[in-house]
Amino acid sequence: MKTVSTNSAAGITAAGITPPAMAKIRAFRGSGSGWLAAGAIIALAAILPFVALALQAVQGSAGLWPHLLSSILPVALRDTLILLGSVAVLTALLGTTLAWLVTAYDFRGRRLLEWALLLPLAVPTYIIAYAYLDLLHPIGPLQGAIRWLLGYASPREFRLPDIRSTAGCILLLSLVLYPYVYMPVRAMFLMQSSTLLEASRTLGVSRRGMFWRVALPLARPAVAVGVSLALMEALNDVGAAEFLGVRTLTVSIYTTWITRSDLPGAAQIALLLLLLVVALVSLERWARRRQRYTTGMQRSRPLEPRRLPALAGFGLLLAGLLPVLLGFAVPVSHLAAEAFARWQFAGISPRIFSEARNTIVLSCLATLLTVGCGLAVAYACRVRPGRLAATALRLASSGYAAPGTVIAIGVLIIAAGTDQFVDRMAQAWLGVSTGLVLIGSGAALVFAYATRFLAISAGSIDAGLARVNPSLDHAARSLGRTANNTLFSVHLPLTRPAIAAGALLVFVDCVKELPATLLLRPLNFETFATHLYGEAARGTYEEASIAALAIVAVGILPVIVLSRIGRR
Amino acid sequence: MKSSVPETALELVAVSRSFGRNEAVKDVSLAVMPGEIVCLVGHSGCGKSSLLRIISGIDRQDRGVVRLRGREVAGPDVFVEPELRNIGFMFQDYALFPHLNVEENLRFGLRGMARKEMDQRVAMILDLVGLGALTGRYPHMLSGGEQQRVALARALAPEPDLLLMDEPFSNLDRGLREKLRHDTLSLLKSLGTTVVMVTHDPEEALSAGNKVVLMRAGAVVQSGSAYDIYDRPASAYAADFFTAFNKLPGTVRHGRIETPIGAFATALPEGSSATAYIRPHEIALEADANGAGTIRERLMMGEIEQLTVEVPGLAEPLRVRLMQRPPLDVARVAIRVRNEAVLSFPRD
Repeated sequence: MKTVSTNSAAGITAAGITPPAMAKIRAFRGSGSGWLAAGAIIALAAILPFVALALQAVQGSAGLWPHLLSSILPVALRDTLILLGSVAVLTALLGTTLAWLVTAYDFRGRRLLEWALLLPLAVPTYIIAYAYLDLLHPIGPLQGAIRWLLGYASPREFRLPDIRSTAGCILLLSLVLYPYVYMPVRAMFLMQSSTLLEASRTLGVSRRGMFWRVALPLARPAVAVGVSLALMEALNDVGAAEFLGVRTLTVSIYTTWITRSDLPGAAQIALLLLLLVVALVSLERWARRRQRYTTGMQRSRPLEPRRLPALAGFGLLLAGLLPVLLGFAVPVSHLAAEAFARWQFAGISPRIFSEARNTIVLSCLATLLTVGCGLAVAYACRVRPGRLAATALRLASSGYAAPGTVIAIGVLIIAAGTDQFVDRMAQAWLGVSTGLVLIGSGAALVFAYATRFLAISAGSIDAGLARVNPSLDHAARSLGRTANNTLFSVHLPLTRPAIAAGALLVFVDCVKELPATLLLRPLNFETFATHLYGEAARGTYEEASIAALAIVAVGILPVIVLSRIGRR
Repeated sequence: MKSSVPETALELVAVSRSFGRNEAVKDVSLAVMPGEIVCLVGHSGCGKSSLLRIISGIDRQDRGVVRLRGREVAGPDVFVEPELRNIGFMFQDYALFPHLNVEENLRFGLRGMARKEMDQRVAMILDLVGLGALTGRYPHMLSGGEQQRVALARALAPEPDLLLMDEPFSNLDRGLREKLRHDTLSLLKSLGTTVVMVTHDPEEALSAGNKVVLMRAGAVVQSGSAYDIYDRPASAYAADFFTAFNKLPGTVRHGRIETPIGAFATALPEGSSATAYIRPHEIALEADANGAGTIRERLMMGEIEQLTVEVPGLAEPLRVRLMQRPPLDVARVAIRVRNEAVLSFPRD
């Protein structure tokens, strides 16, 4: 076996044997290895904030831990756990009941209800808290109306229990987070084979018993998935908890950094929070460990919902609409009314327009970066399958579970360090101060968004690519296209819907994102979310309702997409 | 490489490929001359498709060398990317791009060609495979046979030095399959295209190619012309692959293998246990009231009739296929087999 070097290849070309297409001979670098390298770099960048966080937390001055342990942690941990536990129970209850309601029974308005129950998803936690704070204020519209009805003159004589409490926070969070449970559980109920349920009827189980003995146990994995998603959102929340006076770990991180400028302390609490998330994810994995047992029956006929008499059906519809009313209609119409009043009174200030521009530009940049990185990571798995690419995909997706505050603190450590270094270098060599390059330009914030939402884009693109037959890749290659060219001429056209859906989700999440935006935004840079937070924190309610309404309007987009997917 | 030596279109030298512990391709060497149509045949999982992927450059072998027109394209230190090999590949599932219509699928492999030349080429190839009326259709609007022709046309459009076909006819209905196989192969022969095709169908392998390569567990069992491999199988495995033989156990004495229906010449060693292989259509029956065979069953198969004949001393009855069926009242028969029609293999 003699290997042919480039020299002898040239010789053959000279002899006129080689067609021009084969003139290029090169050592095996494997095309697509560029994608693999890009995927690996992106994966490393995505876990960098966590590494920085851990290093900072370990380095933190020894004197801090005793203080943290004694004064902040016990309260924060207790409040967080109470909040998580209660939200878990409430969302599981609400989500599962509502899912059963719309799959097991048929009544006038069921289709509408199925869709409407997703609407609270469009309302971020800090917006529902903001709306209810205003609505339920002792001198606000609702309490005023009650007092007028009952004939009391002042709030001193009569007032409702204060919404600013742990119970209030639990209730409000659950009202907007239950769709995370409702969605997968409903899908699971729809997938369940009617023969299983009918078999249980013939074995002497009542219609009600069927829910407890067959449907619910089968749907348990979906409940676990939904509850864990809801809890991750609850952990991520910084606005609602703070407005309502609940000192969760997330709020503690935020105040530790903002009011005490104590980065190591914030890093330490963030690390603790991260451990909590890891525990949560492990719990969820454990809870759905036997998920496989529903597959294999997916193709069979779904359960025929039971037609209810008109009156009973109407009752169920009203009951089902209650969460939609409280979690969406009431807060949103209050916001709309406030926004309208504000507009009538003062018009729309240029401030709102500049915030809109900031929000859109920032979210678009972050979406572009996130989708680009997601594409690279997912395509690396396609062209260079193997353990390395799969690991890169998994690492790149690790930000999905981390609260925005945790990622923001990690990014802050990196960005602050880099900015200081650059500034010092510039001063030493050029005699000018560069200031805060990464934070000041918003680059740090875009990076944080990308880290947090990479899982969404990489996941949806990966799922889209998985539906493209691998022999199409091979066909393209054998027809003279490189791996890069195959991406553009075959994969991108075929996976456009998946990429667009991923981009939409990322964009909306960026618009809604509050904690990381608060921590990492450039000085005097306001988005809709930070404006709302600022006014709510000050207790002023001027233009924030317009901003809140805009965020909800954007948030409705993915709800529409999700409702279409749910219907098949 | 001297110019006096006829140049091979494709040459594989001791090519091996493993996936984990599974050796998919073992030490395969093969030479394909220009214009030849070679059929790789074997049961599924025998490594024939892996070999195609290695030739095309979609996969890379662990050991051995691949040469195209005498030039090394894959070896220990050399690897030419698939898009630079000028090899056409026709996939079992056709792999037509669903977002492109027929014409765009054909143009896909012609990038970099002058516009006018490309138009001519597309028109010519469409005409060649008879797809002129379908240019604007998308793959999902085509029948299975039409898709097969588009796949063939697309692979041929860039005028590849070598065309690889992976089970090109297996997705077609039986009747259509035979017609398209005939049309495709006569087109390829008239164009003088060099082809390596993979099939699991013995009949297809024998009829399609100039050369048949039988593979088993990653290795080449036997290769040669269809006549060689069918008439003179080198092993019991090769014999069994192409024909359902009658197998008669016997012992070799005086240079002949002795069986309940007679003794037949063999080159196997004296005294050894052997099996005589006899094709069902090589057995002749004659009505004979004192004959050794008794007809137990008649199976009418149209052109031919298959008979089950019981013979004392044989555990399995003989299967006999006759063009001329014996009269229905005949039950006892004498059995005649020509000496040359009997193959013998050692029995273990």
